[in-house]
Amino acid sequence: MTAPLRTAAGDAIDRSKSIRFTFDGTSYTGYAGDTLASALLANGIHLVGRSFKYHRPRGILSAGSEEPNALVRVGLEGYSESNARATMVELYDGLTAYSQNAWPSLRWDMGAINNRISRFFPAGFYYKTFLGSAAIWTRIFEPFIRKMAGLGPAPTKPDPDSYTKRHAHCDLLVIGAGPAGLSAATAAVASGARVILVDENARVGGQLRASQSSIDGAKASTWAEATAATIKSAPGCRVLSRTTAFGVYDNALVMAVERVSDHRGTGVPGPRQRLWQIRARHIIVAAGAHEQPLRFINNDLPGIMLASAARLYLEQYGVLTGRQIILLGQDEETRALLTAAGAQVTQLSRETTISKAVGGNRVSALLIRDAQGQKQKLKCDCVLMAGPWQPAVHLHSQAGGKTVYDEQAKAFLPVGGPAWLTSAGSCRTPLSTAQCLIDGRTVTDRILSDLGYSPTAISRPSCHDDGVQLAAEVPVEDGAKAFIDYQNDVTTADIDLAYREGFISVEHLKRYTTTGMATDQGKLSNVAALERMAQRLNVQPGAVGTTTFRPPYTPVTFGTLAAHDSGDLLDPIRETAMHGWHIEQGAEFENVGQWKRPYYYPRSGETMDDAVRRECRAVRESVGMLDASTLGKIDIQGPDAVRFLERIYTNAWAKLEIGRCRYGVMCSEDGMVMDDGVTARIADDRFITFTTTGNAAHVLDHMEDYLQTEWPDLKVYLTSVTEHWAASVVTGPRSRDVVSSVVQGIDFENDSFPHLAWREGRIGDVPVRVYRISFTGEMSYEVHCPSPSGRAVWEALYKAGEPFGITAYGTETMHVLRAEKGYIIIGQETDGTVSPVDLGLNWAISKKKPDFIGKRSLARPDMKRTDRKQLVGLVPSDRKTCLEEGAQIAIMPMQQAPHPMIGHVTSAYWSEILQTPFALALVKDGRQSEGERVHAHFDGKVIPCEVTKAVFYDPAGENMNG
Amino acid sequence: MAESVLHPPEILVSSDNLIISRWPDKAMLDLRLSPVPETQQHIQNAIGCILPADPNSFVTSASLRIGWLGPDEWVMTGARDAIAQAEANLALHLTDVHHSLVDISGNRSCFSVAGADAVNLVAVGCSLDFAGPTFESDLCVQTLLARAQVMIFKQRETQSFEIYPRRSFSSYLSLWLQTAAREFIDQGNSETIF
Repeated sequence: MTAPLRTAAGDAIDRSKSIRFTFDGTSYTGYAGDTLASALLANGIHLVGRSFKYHRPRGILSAGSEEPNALVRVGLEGYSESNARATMVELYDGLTAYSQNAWPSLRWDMGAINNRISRFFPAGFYYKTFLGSAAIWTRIFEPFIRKMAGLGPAPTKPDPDSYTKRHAHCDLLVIGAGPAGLSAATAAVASGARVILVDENARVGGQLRASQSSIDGAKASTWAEATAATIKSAPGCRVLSRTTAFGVYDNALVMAVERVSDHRGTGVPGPRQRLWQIRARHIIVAAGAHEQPLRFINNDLPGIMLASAARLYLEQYGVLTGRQIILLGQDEETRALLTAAGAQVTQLSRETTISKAVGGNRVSALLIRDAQGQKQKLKCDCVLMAGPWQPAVHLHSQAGGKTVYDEQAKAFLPVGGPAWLTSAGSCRTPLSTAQCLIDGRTVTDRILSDLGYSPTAISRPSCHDDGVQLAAEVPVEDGAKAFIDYQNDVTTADIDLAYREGFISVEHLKRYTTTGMATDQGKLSNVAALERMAQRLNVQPGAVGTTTFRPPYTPVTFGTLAAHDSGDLLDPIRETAMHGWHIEQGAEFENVGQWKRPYYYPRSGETMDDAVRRECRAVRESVGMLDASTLGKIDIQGPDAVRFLERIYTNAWAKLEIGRCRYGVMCSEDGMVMDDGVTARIADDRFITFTTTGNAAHVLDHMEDYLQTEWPDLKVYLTSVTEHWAASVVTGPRSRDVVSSVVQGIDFENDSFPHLAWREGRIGDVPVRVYRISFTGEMSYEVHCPSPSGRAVWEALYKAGEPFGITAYGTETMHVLRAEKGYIIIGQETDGTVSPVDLGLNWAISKKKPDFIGKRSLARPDMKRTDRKQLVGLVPSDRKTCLEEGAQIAIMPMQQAPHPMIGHVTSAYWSEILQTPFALALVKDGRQSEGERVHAHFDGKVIPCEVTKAVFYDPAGENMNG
Repeated sequence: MAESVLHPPEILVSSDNLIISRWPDKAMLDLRLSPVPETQQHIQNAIGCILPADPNSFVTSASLRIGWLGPDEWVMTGARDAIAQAEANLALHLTDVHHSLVDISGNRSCFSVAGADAVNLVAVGCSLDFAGPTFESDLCVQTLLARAQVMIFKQRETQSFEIYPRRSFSSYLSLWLQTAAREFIDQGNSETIF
């Protein structure tokens, strides 16, 4: 069964393959190679949607990606995609498509009432109507607008498709495989350059697909296919069809989306789309031009479309767009082709004025005044508009290029732009097919020499030049419903209103009327809007200017942009060597940067509080274990290592003996605490420095930066060994019993291996370094081993601890225990405005050293102020209520805002050993306030607290010195 | 313990056009020094070859592979005993030279990617040009693969890759490689550039 409007022609379709599809629930037939638009037109269907604002019936306007009207929803459930352009959707068996913005049906749409009352909805009516309080806006106006606005629903199910990415590089990227692009790519390939040619359509050729010209003796579309095949077979070259270059970025980076399997249907194996990131040495934009509609009253009726589109439907798909056609243009070839295909074609004389189009869901006649001013009604079922051709300057503009208005072309042409991007063919200026072939070649020859290739001597494609097709000059009568922007329902009257109300700047015009916005980005409306405004202002359109085009050229799905970076791959998860053990033990994890660190290890039935209390008790009473592998570790070597450390840290290092460790604080140049940690002396000229987990990379960069730029005279080399060493902390009164029973080759007697010392030993044949460092206040041993043995060493230690009830603990318990000792955490007690003095770390600031980073800043008068916020302890007076981190502190309970606050809580926990809540806080002049009562404010609560020293447990340090 | 036992590689993906494996950790040294001619002579005496001077290149001696990481930094990989031998010999010959020589064997995991689509797979997540003329040599580069910092050795002869992420990124990269490989396996056809 042949659809009513099929002709005998059609390069793109395979008549042996019938394809069934549905539109709004009705089943139709098309052919393989059809687009949804061509198949609907073949079935005589022009009405495919309702417009955004006035719900006017709309048809298929174009045959390409510039389509503003024929937006449909395709696919079901998770595969559903709204606002797909029917002109770009390729037909596949079982394709399901729906019209949008119509209820209860496309033909009888309630929303069309908007069209009747449209005088109440002029441009900017939002700004004039929806006034009032915020409450009215959120309760009434916004829900109303949300319900009315928008085209098509978002899918409610997860997207079942997969997407991928690819990086590619080339000498020359050619965008657009029309006559200019093919000619350019051919010349570049012949000279040996690496070429990538991309084209957004299923078939290469651009306008050649609808051309009657012959090139090198072959039909234009056949020549295009053969040429693309030659380019594709060249080494290192690619031809990517169904690929839209949608964004141009600095240094010739182009983003393109390849629709890999959209045309094969849903649920097919492999990725649906691929995001290409192409880095080219040079880009040729040969994206062609868009034929523009003409502006007359009711120019949006279904059946009124672009003349070039009608030709493409005829040549590519064998589809006649109507039987009684009025052609608004002087193009004899198009007339002849349509007539030959069986249509009755009328062309208007130059003296005719168009009054308006009439019709309901399809154009039925054109009302005109002839040369004598007589009204006439010309019956028709299709009107073809041959307007001026506007070069697709979008990518040129994205790259920073400008445009100038050309009177003769009635279009904005590209000028300027970066040296690495060139426009060619009708993307540069209106050209005939033959001229495009020459232009592509000429432009390429020039670029190739710049790229270091010799232009080839291959002959130019030969083609008869039948000159540039000029736009129709059709006088029209003015009226309210002559549409400028089809997708946003902007009419000439809206532009006029913007003019009258003073929105004459191009940027204001765009935002006030919304012309040029939405998914088509005004490909068929920008020029007309600017011309209309220029006409009102009585200036040349060039003087009005254009807005800047921004990516994407056509809409891109989020799935493609995300590709593999979703789900479990959204962000890397960093794991320590012991990660598997933590999982087996049922640990809950905490994200620390990208690291997953055990947060606590709940036993069955335990809450987090229960678990943390149990873990705290175990460490204080017996022994616990912590995975500290994530700490940053930097190997520092060289004869100047001591001098280097003296400058990096606030404290002194010269006297640190080999085999000993020391806590250090480092400041930024502003004298504020940047990081802290322990450094151990491995040899006379070698140290290992530990940093906080979060600052590992930053501290290494900071150190390397100073070595390379400030102190190149220092003989020091740094190496990151963070991931080389896995670290198991064994801490608690019984830690020595545990560690000494497993580690060989070390004398663990307190005198020979005291607190803040380190020793080398082994467990089995694994070499270990044991550091006696305590972050809990208990006797502690950190056992470091090469990471591949991390889990084995951890398990050996754990097993040895079982007789003592050894308990693995996580970061929460670690935080509680260190806070009981008043040990700070970078990023918790510090925020970049806290100095070592504020933290009470004066003892760690050397008075003797000539210099260290931050020394001068620490001498500033502001640092000597006594009312700076200082680290103190807080104990809630009721001994029951835990404070919250971030709680604000005032001396008296707040009666009424504003109220002077003197500080804030930085850490707050329940102390299991002391059986009381406690907190660390930064309080103005805090150290002088010891013993005084203050009030913490949070969650509407006011909790009286006493200010204490910032140490709660074992202030003398007897436990850790063991 | 586990460290001294050699494991066979774990095959993650195996098809006609793509083989992805995870290898047991390779022994690795990081060497930093100023590569003046006298020092290069010491290196030659210690390990039988000199340090590569070309940025992002690597050289191979009988038992070692030495990659250029920076103007004053190199990485050496090899079997555990070869690395131990190199470490001892270098320490001996560089006594009078300011340098740092650090065992970083635990720092990184090792994946290999081979097959006709190896270049394409790496191009899914890495912005470097491994297919172009400037990269037709043995390469040692530090870059990003997906969201993981990696060191990549690419062998010119086999057009295959050894990829070394920081070991904490090992699970992430393993999952990423297997996910990204799907498009090459699903289609069942190799897509090569050259």
